[in-house]
Amino acid sequence: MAYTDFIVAIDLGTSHMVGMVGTKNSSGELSIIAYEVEKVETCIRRGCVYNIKDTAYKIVGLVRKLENKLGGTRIAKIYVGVGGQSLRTIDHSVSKLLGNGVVTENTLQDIDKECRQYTPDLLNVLDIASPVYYLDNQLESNPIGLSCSRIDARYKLIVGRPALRDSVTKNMVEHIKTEVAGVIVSPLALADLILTDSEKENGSALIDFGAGVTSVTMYKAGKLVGMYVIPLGSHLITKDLMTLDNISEKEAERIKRTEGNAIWEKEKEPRPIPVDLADGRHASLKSSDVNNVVEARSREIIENIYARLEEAGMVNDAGCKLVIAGNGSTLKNLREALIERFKMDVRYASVRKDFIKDGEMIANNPEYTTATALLLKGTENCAVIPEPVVTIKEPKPIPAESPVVEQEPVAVENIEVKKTEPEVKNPIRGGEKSKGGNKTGERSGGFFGGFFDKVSGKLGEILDEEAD
Amino acid sequence: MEDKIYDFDMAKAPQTIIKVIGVGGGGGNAVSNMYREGIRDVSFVLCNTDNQALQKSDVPDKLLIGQNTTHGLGSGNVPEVGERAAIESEDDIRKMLNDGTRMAFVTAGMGGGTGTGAAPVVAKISKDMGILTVGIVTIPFVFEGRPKIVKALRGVRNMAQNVDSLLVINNERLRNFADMPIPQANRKADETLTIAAKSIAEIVTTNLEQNVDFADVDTTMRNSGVALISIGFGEGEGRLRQAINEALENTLVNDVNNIFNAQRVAFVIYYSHEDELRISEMDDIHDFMSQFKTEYEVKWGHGYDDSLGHKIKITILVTGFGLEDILTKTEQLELNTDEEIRAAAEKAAAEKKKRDEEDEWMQRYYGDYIDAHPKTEIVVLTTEELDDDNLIAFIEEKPAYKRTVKDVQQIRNAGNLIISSSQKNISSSTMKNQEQKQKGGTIISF
Repeated sequence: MAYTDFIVAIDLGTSHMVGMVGTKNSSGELSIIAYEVEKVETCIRRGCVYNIKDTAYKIVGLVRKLENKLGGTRIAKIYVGVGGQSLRTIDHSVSKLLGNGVVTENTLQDIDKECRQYTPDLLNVLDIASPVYYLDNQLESNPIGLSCSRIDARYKLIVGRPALRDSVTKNMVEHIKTEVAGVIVSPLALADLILTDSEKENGSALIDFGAGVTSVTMYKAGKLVGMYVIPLGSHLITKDLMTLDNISEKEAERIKRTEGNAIWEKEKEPRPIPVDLADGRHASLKSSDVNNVVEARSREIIENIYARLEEAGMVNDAGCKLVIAGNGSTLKNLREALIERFKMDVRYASVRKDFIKDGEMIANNPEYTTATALLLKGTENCAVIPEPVVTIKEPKPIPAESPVVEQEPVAVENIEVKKTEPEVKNPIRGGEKSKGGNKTGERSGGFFGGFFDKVSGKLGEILDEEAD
Repeated sequence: MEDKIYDFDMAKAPQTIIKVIGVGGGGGNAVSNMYREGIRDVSFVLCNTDNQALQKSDVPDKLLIGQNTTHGLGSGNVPEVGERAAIESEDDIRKMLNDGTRMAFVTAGMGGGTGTGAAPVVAKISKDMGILTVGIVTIPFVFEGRPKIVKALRGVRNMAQNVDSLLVINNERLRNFADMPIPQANRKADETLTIAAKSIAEIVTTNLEQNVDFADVDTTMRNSGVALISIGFGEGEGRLRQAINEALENTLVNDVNNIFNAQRVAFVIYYSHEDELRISEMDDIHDFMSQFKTEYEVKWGHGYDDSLGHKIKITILVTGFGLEDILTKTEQLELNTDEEIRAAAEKAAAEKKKRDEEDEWMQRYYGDYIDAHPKTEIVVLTTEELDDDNLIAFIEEKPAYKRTVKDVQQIRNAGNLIISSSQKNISSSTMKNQEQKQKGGTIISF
């Protein structure tokens, strides 16, 4: 059967590039239709596109392979995730003097507009997380209707080198001949797919151990506290192992998987670990040497994560927990090492069941989780169909609470969608509707609220005619 | 011993250019042996921290080193004490060498305190004075125990760094030692040292028919790394071939096969007036010489030694071994035979095995007290540094387990200018304070 309405997302990893096609049902649950992996040789470094032409070539290859699984439907556009080096949050606050006036929806909209106009030097704002409001220096979660002399909105801007976005948009498009529907900040998308509302509320950090980079996304009280991409990844462990002897990358990777250990273990008698050298000879490594190499590098990565959490005031917080994702998280004893260092509860990531209808197994494979998360952020039909047959029904935000869009859906940096629904870009719009104390629902509703707003804006008529 | 008479005797003792210095107990015994046996035109000196041991010897020139460090009571088997003692007496050692000496043998038994610790210092002083310095050391018998062997090997490494040429004599290779009582085995070890030093000294001092002189020895041994010396005797039919074979078998050193891979070679054949070297025996010499794969000319000589009777004796001196040499020789090895490549690999493997064995023994004896977890330099990036390509590239290239604090600081200092300029551009005020506090980052070492 031919699919006519689906979303396509490409996750640009440092070791693998994943393309995934999925479709969402009326309640926003995702069904994965197809997925393909392409091995990345060197065109992506530390999560950033390094060689545009090679990357584009591979993306085209992925798109072709996916199309083969779509029963003849062509792919018109793709969403691309970014999560490479230089991506991080910075603080930005906007203040307004009200002179004992009352905060209205307009006030917040003005503030938001001002925030959007801000462009830091040398950096590109890829996303803006919802702000925290302070009325006369008092934290206020729902400021509308309250009076004060001064209001501060403290934002977290997700910024990166301009090249981070440009290399997958303007510079890429001419090579791939496929439209880029949007650039999505991968770590944020991943956090939304994995962290539960209560985890975000009580404080949690999602750590994605990638091959080229390790990203840290921290939440507290339901808000994004900070997001950083640490430019060190698990592939470095492989590279370090190669320095022990004349070992090929493949063999080093095997040793990492079978013998790697994130904890230093004292051995009375180091074991010999047989290894095939690059020149075909057989040799053996000492287990203590391997342990030393792997432990040193993984500890370096852990210490860098710790520094980020420490800055954000997340350590020594009893309620906080760590959630670990990514292929690198499978390193033996990594979880134990993290528990030891952070004195926190650590769990392995699993995707939220309420988001996935079909393909949970695939989504839970660390290699594909990010691509799944990107799909969930996608909003536009990516199929080449003049008049799409819509499978999406009248939307209802999943947990069925508030229709609130407190967290703006700007996680999706919509390049050409702007003209269709400019209102989605307004994060305050939802805020005004929100009821205090309903924040957890708002979080998950946040994205879908935006999504559904968009869908209803765009497909309203069709829905009326066909879907129902 | 000082005469009050006017000393007009300009050549009071014949000017010797070779000095044999015995450092510590083993070295001292060997030198005392040589002194009793008598080698012409060679002067002898003993250096020790143990006054009692010095007094026992017949050698007239004695130097008690480290009087303040050890009070003449020995170094208690601690190489560090031996080293300190030698450093304390540096001026005395220099004075002792500053008498026209052109070549010095520093002989010591490795594995104890004074020899292991002080001999490298004595060698260094000598080499720094421009004297051709040859270290001759023994390493212990296996029955003497691993800790001593490990200590000895460390001493050998120190010696190798401070001499022009080093002869390592492994006592374990002494023949027939299994049946030998321990005191005799120890004497045998001293004897080995004696033979080695004597053989080289002989080459220089004996006036041969076809001569090998000091300049030849200097060429062969100056900055030549590890050396091997080997002696063989032969008698009767095919005596020279016998002698050569015996010399090859009985090298008293490790790696017999390596002799033919030497960079520089010198050998001397001795015979008596009763039974001189014959033309017919020259073929054996040619066969033997053709086996050497050195680029250098093989220097050889022959001469009389009437103590030999009908016997013939060959002394082979080969130099140019050592880890560094193996590395630089890699290209040569490729051009040459498999045997050479194999020998190099064997040597590297032996080195590694030696290291592993040391580790293993450390582990066995100290495993419960020492956590062998090596030090590592971890770099914790500041938020600004998360996008510092230079620093990141450095961290990637240099695995954490190999890094030093200095490396990291250099890279960071180089990057600081750029960081501080880009910092100005971030106008978010709270951010800025945080960054400034964090600037420079942290290095954690464990």
